[in-house]
Amino acid sequence: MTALYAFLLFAVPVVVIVTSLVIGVVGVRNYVDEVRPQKAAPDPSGDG
Amino acid sequence: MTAVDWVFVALYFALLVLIGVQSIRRIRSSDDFAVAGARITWPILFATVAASFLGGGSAMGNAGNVFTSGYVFMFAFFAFGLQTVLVGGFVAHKLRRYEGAHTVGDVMEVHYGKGARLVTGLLSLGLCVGILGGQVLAVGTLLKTVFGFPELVGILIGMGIVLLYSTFGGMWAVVQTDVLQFVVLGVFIPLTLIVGLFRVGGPGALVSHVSHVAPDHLGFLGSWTPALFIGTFVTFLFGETLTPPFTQRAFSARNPRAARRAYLTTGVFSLGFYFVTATIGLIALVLYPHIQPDQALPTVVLRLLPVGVVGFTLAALLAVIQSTASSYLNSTAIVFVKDLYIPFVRPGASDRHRLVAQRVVTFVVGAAAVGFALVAPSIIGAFVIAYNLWAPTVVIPLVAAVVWGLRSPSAGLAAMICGGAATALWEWGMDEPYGLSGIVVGVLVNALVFAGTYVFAPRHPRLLQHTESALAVKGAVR
Repeated sequence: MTALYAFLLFAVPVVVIVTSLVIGVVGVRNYVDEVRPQKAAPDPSGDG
Repeated sequence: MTAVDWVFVALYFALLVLIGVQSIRRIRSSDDFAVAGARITWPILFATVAASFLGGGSAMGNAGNVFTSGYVFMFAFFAFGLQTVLVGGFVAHKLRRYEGAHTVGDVMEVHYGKGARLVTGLLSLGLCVGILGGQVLAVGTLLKTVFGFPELVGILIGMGIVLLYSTFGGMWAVVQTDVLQFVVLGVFIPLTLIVGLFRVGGPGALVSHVSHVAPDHLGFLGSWTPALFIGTFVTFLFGETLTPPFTQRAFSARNPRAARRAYLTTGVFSLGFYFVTATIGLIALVLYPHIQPDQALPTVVLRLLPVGVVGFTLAALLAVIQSTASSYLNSTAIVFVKDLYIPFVRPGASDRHRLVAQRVVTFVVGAAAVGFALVAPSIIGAFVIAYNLWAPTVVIPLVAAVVWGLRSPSAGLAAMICGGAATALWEWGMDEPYGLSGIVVGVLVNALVFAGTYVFAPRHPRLLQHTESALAVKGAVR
């Protein structure tokens, strides 16, 4: 029982930290995509 | 607190302001302000649902209660995570199919008529203002305890930034800042547990110390009776189910699949987070047995963590409160404008008018919550009544509508009125006989009245989920 508890006490915080860091990386990429100025869509008519 | 710690706290505040300012440009319509254009991907949605969901109660509150009662409180608290998993599995993806919906009232009107929208709108408003007020008080208390700021200064600093980015950046700003707040709280609060464990001497030493100091703190039921545990568990299970900010986030999802995955992940993640904060409560009990229980988490942070990490972890504690506050502030404005102002005062208002109204209401409500917290905290207590009435009125009809497509204005209204009345009578009229929470009684009455009225009273044909055009919300601008 104590062994299981010891395992959880180290595993759970590590999983929470790793999950948060992964989401942080995704969040930064998403944020950069959002704030980057959008390129104007090409004109389908080709008239410029 | 050293200068390095102050720098890290200031850096956190600066990032919030930067993200808020950048988000202003994203807001072009009331739809952007309310549901961020309904194109949030699931990892971002997971971060924003989790950051809003994990408030002061799941961090400082959970640690303090486990300090007092032991792990039994954490096991009861797991009901919140279970509720989120159930919503993810059965409800969230179906909510996303309501085209143009921003609020719970939008869905309720489709199934139960305008009266149900009005009642839901008023309850949503009371609940959001009550929880927002609670978070304002928590920010003030934290900054006063940790930094030594006067309460006025603490609240103005902590809430001023929230008010700024919520008013101008709407849901875009709330979501982006939620991601930052999620990362800060998800990294530094577990780090606090790991440092605390080393200071105690490891897991084995923690078990040994707790068994000596408080033998029943590690047991499943601790010193609680089974009735107390079941009552608390059921109260937590229903208490915050599908409250306005969480429903609003399902509407913000890019698609139904993203909504489902985000809620399921949040439910599982929250269980781990509760375990972390609960165990910090036990570490505080072993190392600092004479402190006030609600000081368990801040005390461990301030006394155990090394220079620099203290600053980040205090930012994490602020993040826990601020992310919840900004979500409820944003929801308050959306609910007021969408459920009360537009349908009953200015039907047919332009989208530009809606956006201006949402911003004005966000600012006014935020400023009023700060004012009430400083001058008359008891007013915030009064709004918490709406918190107790939410589950016994709205949850069962809402789930029946979304999951099974049931439509019956008489069943919806009768269930809301009877469930609310039963809760009020049981909780405030009879003072909770047998120690049973009014929420449990109210939910039972609400379910029975809903089922009975639906079977015997006139009803409309069910709205099936695959006929998505039937789920377009009246007056939607999307």
